[in-house]
Amino acid sequence: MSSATFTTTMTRAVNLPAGGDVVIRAVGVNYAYGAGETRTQVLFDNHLEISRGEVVIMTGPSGSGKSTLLTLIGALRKMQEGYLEVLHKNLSKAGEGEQVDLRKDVGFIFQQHNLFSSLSALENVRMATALKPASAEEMDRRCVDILTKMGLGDRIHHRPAELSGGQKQRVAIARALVNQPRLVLADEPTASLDAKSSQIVLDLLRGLADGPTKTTILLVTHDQRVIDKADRIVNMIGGRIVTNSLTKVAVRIVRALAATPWLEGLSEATLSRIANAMTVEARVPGETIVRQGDECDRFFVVGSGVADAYKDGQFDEEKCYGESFGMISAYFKMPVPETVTARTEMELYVLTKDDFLHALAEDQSFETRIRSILAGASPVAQPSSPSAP
Amino acid sequence: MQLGRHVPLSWRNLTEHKLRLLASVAGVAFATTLMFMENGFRKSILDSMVNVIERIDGQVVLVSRTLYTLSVPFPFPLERIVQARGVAGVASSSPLYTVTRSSYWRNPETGRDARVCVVGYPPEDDVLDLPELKAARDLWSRPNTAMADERSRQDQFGEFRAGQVSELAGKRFEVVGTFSLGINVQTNGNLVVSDRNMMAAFPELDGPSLMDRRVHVGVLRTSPGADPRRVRDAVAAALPPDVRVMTLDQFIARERDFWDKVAPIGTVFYIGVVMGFIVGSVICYQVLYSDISDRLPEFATLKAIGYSNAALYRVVLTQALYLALLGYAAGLAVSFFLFQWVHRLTGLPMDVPRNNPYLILALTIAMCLGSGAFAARRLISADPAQLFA
Repeated sequence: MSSATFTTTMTRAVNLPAGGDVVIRAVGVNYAYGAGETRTQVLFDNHLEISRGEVVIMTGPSGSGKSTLLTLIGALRKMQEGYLEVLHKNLSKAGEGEQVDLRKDVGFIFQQHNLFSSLSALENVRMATALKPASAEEMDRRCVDILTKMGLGDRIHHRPAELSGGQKQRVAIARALVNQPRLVLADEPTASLDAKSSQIVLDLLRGLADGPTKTTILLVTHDQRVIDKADRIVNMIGGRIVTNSLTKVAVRIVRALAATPWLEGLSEATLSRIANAMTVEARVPGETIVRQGDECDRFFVVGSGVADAYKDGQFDEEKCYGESFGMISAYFKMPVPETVTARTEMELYVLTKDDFLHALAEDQSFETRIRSILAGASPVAQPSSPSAP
Repeated sequence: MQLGRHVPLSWRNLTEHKLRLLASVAGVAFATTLMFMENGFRKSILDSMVNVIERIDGQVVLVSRTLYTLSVPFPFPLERIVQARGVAGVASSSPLYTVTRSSYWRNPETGRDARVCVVGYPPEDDVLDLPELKAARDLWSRPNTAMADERSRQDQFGEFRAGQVSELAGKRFEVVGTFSLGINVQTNGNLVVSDRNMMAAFPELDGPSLMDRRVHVGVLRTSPGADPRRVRDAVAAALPPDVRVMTLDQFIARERDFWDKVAPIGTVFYIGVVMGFIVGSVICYQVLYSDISDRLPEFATLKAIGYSNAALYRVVLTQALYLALLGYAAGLAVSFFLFQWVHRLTGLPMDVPRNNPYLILALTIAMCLGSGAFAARRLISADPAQLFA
């Protein structure tokens, strides 16, 4: 089955693939342990697309299915239902040999370092280079290079018993990365590392994703330091992907929302929920997006490009990255306060009335706040007043 | 330190813990020694049972039709030997007498009688190819003299030496010299006497006439260039059926077969070898299984990063091979000492180089590889997916 056969419906702004080269494509993936009466389904109809060079974090409570999904992506388990394509190889019906072949292109980092206590740091890393054999000198050079990058240049001949926990984990990470894999799957890679070591590892992972190899990184972690490096966060609950957000886009939208007067003071969680509901739209130069005095049911945040805002026919201001405009007139009982026309090609993040009302219903504090604004408890002259992020 | 292209994981795993290595090698060495000893006992006993007839200087032999082993001698008349001389291809013939059950030598130091194997033949015929006997032919041709085997058990007979006077079958005999032959499980010592002295000591072998003497083995020497098998057939055709005609090689093989398979000394020691093999297999299995179990997460990690089951099998089998070679070397060294000790203690011809050291090596390797293959099945249960659990 060709990957081109599949089109997913990820129209949310934060859900868009970061790039065109999708290296992980999961469609309708189900998985169950056991059989018969003991059968327990742990994955339900999961859809996911991850592009080359993305750093993706998977979060979720224990038992949410993230490890199972990770093992399916890593070809450590056989697929049962659905379609899964990893590094352009269809794993849906892959045999043992094909799975083993794929795993050679994947760097695995586990919570436990699992280093052979009988081997030195160099030899442990060399166990991985044996899968991509070269001359002994070349393999040694690659191993020493990566170990040195990990800050272990003076420990390469030490055995695990002579290394600290963090050093052992760094050796394990070096083993995962030494072959410059096209995909890295990691389970809490920084759990046993101190702040400095974590930074080294995270910078290295980010560097791999941004570098010429454009390695895709998929991590299960709860480490906030890792989240700062991520392009996308996938949250799973009960075997389902409940959110799949491009973090940069989400951050951009949340910042714009936070700068909006009538949303000021809302928690990041509420803003994130609103951001997750926003869709993406494109506009061409000269196109009028909203017109002053019209009834409107959408709220916009500028993702890219520039627009001009006019009030009463006079140029008022420029709308650019992170700034917002528009109005949910039916709720706020007021028309659009300005006309906005695209000056350049634009990408806009859009909150519709229905999604706005849905967010309102989900968050009592939000609803209370809006109601108090409408009741005049707090002065809001311009609901769409722009503010630089 | 420069590594080769392959990391010597098997060797490192085997030698990581020195005490465990010592115990493992000791276990395999024990099994190897057991096999060496059992095989050594078997071979030495079989060798010792034919040590007299192996030294017969002739190509064709006559024995009684009813003889099944020389240890239970059945006689035939001397006339047959004389008759054989007339057959074409027979250059000469000699009688050989042997008494094993009713022959006692009195230990001159203790005065106690001990059973001894007495072999008699005309000294001038040089029936046994032993240089000491040939050199002292004139001495032991004299009445009431005997040559004694210096490898006879001293705790039974004291130390044989020339000039020693004692009693053989109740008659005064003088030891006029010694030779080196060796004992077996039936006799603790050997004496060689002339045919005349044989008749004097054991008159029951004598007959009413010379031709009626009760001979146990007829030794025929073939003419130069004659084929012993053709001579055998010709003699068999010429003589009455109360004698069996064999080549010397056939006689030796028949005697060995009797002790090996009929007695069944050989079978008992074969079982000993098998027991050693089983014991070694169990030890080796335990050693390897324990090592694999201890390193299961590490092996699972190797599977995760792309090592096939076959590659991991090779690691374990190589480790088993190293263990076999180390255990064999230690077992060989121990066996050398034990063989010498047993030889000194029993006089049995225990000799490592003659005891199929290559066969024991092959058995040791097979033992360890077999155990390794069984133990390596544990690797199949190493589920790399569990590493993400």
